Amino acid sequence: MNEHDGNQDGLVVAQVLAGDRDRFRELVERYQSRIYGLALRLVGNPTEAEDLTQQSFIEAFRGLRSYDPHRSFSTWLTCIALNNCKDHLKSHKRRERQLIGDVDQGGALFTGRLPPPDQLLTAQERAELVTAALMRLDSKYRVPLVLKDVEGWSYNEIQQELDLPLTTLKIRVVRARAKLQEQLRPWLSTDRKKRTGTS
Amino acid sequence: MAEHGQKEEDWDELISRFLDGDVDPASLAELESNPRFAAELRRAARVQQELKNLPPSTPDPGERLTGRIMRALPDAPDGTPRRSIWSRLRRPLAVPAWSVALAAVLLFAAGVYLSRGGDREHRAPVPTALAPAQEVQGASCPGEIRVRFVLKAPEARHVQLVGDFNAWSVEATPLSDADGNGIWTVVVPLKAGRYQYKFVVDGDWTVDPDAPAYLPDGFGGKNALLAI
Repeated sequence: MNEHDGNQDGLVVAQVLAGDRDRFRELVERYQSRIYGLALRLVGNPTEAEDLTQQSFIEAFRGLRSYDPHRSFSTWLTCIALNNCKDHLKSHKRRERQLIGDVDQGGALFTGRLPPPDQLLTAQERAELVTAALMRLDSKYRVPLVLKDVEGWSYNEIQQELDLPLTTLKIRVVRARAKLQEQLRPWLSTDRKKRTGTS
Repeated sequence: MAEHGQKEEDWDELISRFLDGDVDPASLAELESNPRFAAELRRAARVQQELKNLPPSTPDPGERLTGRIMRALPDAPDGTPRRSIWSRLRRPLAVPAWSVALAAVLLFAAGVYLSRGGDREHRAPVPTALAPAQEVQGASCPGEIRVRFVLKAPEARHVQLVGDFNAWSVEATPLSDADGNGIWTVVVPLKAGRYQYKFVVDGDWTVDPDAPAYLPDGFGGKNALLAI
């Protein structure tokens, strides 16, 4: 998980609790992008990600007195956001299944404006490609994978937040990685050939 | 760790362990001697690197979202004691411009009426014992009307009246309950106009439940509105 943010966040929190509400803007500006990015990767919809980001900051603000200043503020905030995303995904599970389908069933892996596999990809295109592939994963695989490989959490931290047995969690990460790699295989092979100049 | 001799269907787990740094170098070297496994391993490492390289958010919602969040925040974190009167006064009340204009018109009209010698006490008091703010008979300064504020609060020990007529002072205008029946009252001489007010019951800022009208107080709550 993210490193402790030092005394800076704790100082801002103390000032907000002392009545300086507007200082909370500093925390929003500092972590908004991270929380929005997490929400976007977990729910896949920009509008819903914004709503979840807003909801998470409001909950953090309301519960600021329960924040332990010895703990990283960003970790605490991320946990709030993660819980909101989990609840959101749970309530949208049926819709998600309808939209995404099961990647194990084969068929078209991607739809939309993704670059063809024979094209050398820019960094932005690669990010869009990986994000699209993530969204093709069922949330039970996507959530642990995002926390492990994107957010950099440890298995123990993920286990605590997702309330999963460690073995189950690791199996899901294994499967998530394999599924993601399988979806990206056409682009990985071609991009590598282009980069190395091999045919 | 006996990684060698693993079947291909077990590669996913091995690769994942490698990505987690959970495969010892000797076993890894042996595994990588298999070209197909080595290729799979490189691809998996590339995917993991792409995940790590994902930008925080694309596109960054920026100031638009920041502003939206700040506007939606409540007045204060849960469990925050009420602000002091001076803190409240430093922040402007969220009163729409049209209501200020309306108040100005009403004040002007009332001023014209009073300057023409209007009888300040011709209106009868509101005939209910708990009416929150009643005009009452009695001596008052020229241009002023005596208004009785009433609150039923049987459990209260101290009740104060705060409003824009007393600079929201929590000490200037105490209510009294002389007979101990839980009905707290105070009479305040006011000039014609519109006033916002609240009660402070044992330190808690309380909205008059029987007020004829309300306005937002700028802190997510509301003030009672009195027009005389």
